[in-house]
Amino acid sequence: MNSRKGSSSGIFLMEMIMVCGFFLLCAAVCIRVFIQADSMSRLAREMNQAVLAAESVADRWKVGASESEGPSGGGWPDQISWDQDWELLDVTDLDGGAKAWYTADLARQEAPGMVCHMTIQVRRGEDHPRRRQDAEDPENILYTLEVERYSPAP
Amino acid sequence: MAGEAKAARPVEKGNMGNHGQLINVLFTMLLFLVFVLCALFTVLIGGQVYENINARSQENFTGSVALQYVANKVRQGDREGGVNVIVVDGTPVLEIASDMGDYVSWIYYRDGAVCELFSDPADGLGLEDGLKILECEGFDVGQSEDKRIIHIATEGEGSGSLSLALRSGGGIDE
Repeated sequence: MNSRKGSSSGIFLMEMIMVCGFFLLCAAVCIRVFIQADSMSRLAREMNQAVLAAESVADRWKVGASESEGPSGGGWPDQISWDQDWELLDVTDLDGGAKAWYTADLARQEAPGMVCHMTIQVRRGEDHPRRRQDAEDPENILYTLEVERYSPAP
Repeated sequence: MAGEAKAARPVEKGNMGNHGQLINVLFTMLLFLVFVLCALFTVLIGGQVYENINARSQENFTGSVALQYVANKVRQGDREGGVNVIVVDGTPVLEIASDMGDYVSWIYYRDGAVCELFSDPADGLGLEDGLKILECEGFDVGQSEDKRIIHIATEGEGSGSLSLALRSGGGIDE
């Protein structure tokens, strides 16, 4: 009688261990999915802001802003930086220790009397805490925008 | 005596068996408790993550949709002298001219929402008569000195800003 009781309890224990094992497996998968969803949501937000930032830069350039009408009022640099709240940082901010969370590289091909091109590539900056170090996207590019405008001959 | 000793043995065995049984049940129950706790925490963490994602998505929506809506209106009404930022009762208002005579669209922030009013200013309608377009924590609009660039910005969580160049030159003869 005792041995029968013991064996039924043992089977129950085995069942519980198996259930717990299966549950742990499912929980591990679920948590991985949660983390992935969270990071995708953050990325979506950053991409959203990157699109707005790139559009703003492109519009300022398209209107034919001269060197003195650059994004921060001091000409058109090759690189623009923003802080974590997407506030534009100028050279004095960066020299003062402000962290460049996001950066845009501006590759321009300009000549008077020609159609000028600019490629704006917004990416996570060097100071971004979640900057990925993987080989899949080493540049951490969030958004790329190509713009053209006609520059009249002087 | 020998008979008593023989009688005591099965009782001991029975005690040991019961004790083992108790530990088995206790361990199983403990395992079940761990299972329940893990399940509970997984659900709680999942709920929290879902809440965060939802909140972020909502912030993205209010932040960017308001900006894109206004940007679309500005592009639509971009003609010489057609887009201006004026101040009405201390509130900066984006005024966009329409094809319908003197009718203009006013886009501004009031009572926690971006509002729009399509009217003829001579009719005497004011900021309180506009329709709420989208609720957000703050909305600001400005124009550069040369009137060529319109700045729009939303405030609060998920805020953003956008600079729009007027293709028409903002009313300045080029």
